[in-house]
Amino acid sequence: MTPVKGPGGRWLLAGAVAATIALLATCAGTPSVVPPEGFAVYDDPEIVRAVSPEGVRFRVRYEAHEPEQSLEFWREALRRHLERSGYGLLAEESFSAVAGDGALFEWVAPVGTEDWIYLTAVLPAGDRLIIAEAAGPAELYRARRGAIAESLESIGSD
Amino acid sequence: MRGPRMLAAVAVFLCLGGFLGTAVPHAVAQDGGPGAGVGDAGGPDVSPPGVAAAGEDFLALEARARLLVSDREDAAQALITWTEDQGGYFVERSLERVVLRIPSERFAELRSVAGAAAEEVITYNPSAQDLREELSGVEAAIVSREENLERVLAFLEESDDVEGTLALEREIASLMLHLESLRGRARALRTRVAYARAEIALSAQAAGIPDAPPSSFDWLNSLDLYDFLSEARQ
Repeated sequence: MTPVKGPGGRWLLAGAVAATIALLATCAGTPSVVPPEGFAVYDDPEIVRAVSPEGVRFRVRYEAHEPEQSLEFWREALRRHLERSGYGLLAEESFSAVAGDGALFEWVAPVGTEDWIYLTAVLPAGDRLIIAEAAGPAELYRARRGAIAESLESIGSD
Repeated sequence: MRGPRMLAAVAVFLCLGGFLGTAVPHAVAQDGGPGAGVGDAGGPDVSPPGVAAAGEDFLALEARARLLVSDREDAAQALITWTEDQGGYFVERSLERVVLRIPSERFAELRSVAGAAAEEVITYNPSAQDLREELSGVEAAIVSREENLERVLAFLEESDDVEGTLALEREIASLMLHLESLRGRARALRTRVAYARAEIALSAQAAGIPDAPPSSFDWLNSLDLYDFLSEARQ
């Protein structure tokens, strides 16, 4: 019997396998994370990017963990760098995610005539660092803060 | 038959011009009054041409300023609202600048009003131009032209040949045109005296944070709010 394309049979199985491989290959470059509730997710193979309807932004990405150091090292390095850059520190916290422990900072900076809050978080995960960022006008960001925090806790590495 | 019709038209013109030119004989409108929505050269008809009264003010006041403001729209509106409350009007409005006509007696207050609307007054340059000589010259020319016109009309009444009548009518038309131009010029000059002109440029603050010295770690250098926002817009 000659194999035919369409439902049923080995063609369907082969197609499903191929799709799964493609999906896994696509997802290999991005951390595993549940986007904040209410955010729309961009179709990006390398970075998890999402935005709320009122414009609060969120993204999570991998960076090379080089040189490999502890969370405390990176916490200190991040704080010093952004303080020196002129950002105003609002809050510093630790958080626990699927992939391990991380540190987050909330900063304030002007955008035009508004004050914006900029979140930066770092989580060492083996040979990679997971970097998370979020930003929005202060009041809008605060309204989404809970959802962002839950999203950070869902971060896992593949 | 053209003669009588022309005569009637000229008579109407003279009466109308006379009304506009000889209304209430005071040089400067003390209460300003709202603009008639006309442009810079026009403005409200504030006083007639004529011999200047003793003590009359002939200074045309002007100011050029540049303000640093946090919100250009708000600053422009604040300046325009104050101007209109004083009986003035705006000639031009944009995000970059406003051009105002302010009753001259309120001009001295503009500096403090501009300061209140701005984060910083970068420059403020007032100036004044004495228009006495120019205005007197224009008004003298008006009087002279009116006298000429009266003489020509008298000749026209007595004219009994076609060629002579035609020539007189041409002369009358030319005089009328010239008179109207002079009267317009006189009104414009008196408006410049009555309403000071202020041209105010608005600069917005560009808030931001200074560039950071680079970190030894590349991923730290990638942490930047403004780059994050730019990338989100792409």
